[in-house]
Amino acid sequence: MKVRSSWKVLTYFMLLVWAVLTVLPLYWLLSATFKLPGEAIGYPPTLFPKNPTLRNFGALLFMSKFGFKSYLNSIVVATGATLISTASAMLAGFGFSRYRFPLKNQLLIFILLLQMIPLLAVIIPLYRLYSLYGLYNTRFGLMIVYAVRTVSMNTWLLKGYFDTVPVEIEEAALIDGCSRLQAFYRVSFPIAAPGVAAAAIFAFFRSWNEFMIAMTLTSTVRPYTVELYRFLGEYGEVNWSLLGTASFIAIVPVLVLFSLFQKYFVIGLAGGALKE
Amino acid sequence: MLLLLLLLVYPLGQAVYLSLHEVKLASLNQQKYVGLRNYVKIFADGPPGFLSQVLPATFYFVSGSIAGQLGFGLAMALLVNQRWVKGKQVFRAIFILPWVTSAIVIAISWRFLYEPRLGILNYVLALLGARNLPGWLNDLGLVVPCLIIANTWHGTAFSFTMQTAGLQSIPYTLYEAATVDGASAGQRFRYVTLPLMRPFIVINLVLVSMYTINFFDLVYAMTNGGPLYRTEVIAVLLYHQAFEYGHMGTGAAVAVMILAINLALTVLYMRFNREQAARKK
Repeated sequence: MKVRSSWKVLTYFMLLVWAVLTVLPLYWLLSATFKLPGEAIGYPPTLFPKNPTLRNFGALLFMSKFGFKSYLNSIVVATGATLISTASAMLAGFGFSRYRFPLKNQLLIFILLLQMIPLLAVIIPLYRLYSLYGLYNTRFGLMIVYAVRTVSMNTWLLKGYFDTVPVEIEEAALIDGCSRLQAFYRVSFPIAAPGVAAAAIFAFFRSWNEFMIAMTLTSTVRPYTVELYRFLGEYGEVNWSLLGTASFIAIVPVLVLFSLFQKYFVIGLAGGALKE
Repeated sequence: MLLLLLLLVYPLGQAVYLSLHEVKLASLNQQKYVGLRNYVKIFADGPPGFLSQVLPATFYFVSGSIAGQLGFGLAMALLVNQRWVKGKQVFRAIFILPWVTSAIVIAISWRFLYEPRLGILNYVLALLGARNLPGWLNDLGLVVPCLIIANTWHGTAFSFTMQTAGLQSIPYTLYEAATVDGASAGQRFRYVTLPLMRPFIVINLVLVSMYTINFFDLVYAMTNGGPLYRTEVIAVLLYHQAFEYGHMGTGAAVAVMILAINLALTVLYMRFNREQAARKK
């Protein structure tokens, strides 16, 4: 097929425009990290920091009321949720893929249906449950909601992956003297590893970015999203550089992590969205 | 599995149960049966009036976001996935950034842009010689479009990814065959791409509507329902009722309504999925 070169130019132009539009709002906020407060909101605005400075990190750490511990909370909660979610989804996915049992298909559909329940609809009962049973304002409490939130999607994703692993390989391993479990983690697991990575990344991102549940179910053990929101209310409109800095710390490591594993993430997203 | 049941299914039943009771935030364990009064309250009480403000705001926000996300997502997917485009991976990596950024950070960065006095938008407008600079998020007429733009920016990546997956499922030989048969680029799009993309577009549509109806973070952090309830979408209403006014029962009633909307969309989604599966056989 011939493609006219004017169309090619137009395509690249539109793609570039969209790429710039995608990056700009984030760049604008994050670049404030390296500007002095006066420059961040000053006229005329500068696209690049005039005198790049790291002072905001210090200011945020020592002079403001931003709770640095919230990052730690987020790390603990997101990591825990990722581990729980991925491990259980792995076992469930493997089970669904390998064994036949009554009501299997109904159960799979049921798991998918659970995924469709909006958290918004259960947030009030959850709040009540958590308050009554001492899970309110704990990291563990958040961890299990997040794990639950991602486990059904991940089960489907991993079932799909294990389906692609030929049973014959496992049988061969069994004959060679592996136990069922050994066959799983020596043979099937390595083959399905990209799927497991996708599941883990998916769970981590969802947990890391979650805001509504965190705000409702915690008061002092806040993850960074809630802390940022509070900070926005308190200082936000005044000190955009500090706000930029706090956001910078929260998202840049994750964005870097993400761009390293971008391929898996897209697999997870597309695979999870199209359960057929 | 047990945890799933405990944390999702049980609360679901509870939500329906609580919606029929009067529960105060301060006394969670005391419930008084009030029948459907919570539902009546939602419709009768105001401001914000449920029928006059909350539903229109929700509809406006959701439909605008869907149009924006799906439109741009599909357009960008079509552009990127042309065969000769170089740097596909780079474009994809950039386009997906807004999707992996926390809604709170998104809210902060857009509030920074929209800020009437210090924001870059008004600065640029002033440079262009505009006199009456808009108040953006403080402007009654502009606030919903502002939210739609921010949400489109955030959610397009999802539609983009789904449509990309769809486009990649179309075998290239089909296009070659169409070209041999003398189809123009427009015809190839109309008779090859579009019919094969239909299932992806429909599923995308359903998923995005569900996601947007249940999307709370962005609206809450950007406008918190204001100004003058212009952005009090149903998700924010639920939160306000339950956790700000302390009417857990009324909040639960809103939750049940949200659930009903979701259920309807889920049924739609499942039915469509099944149709697709049947057609494949």
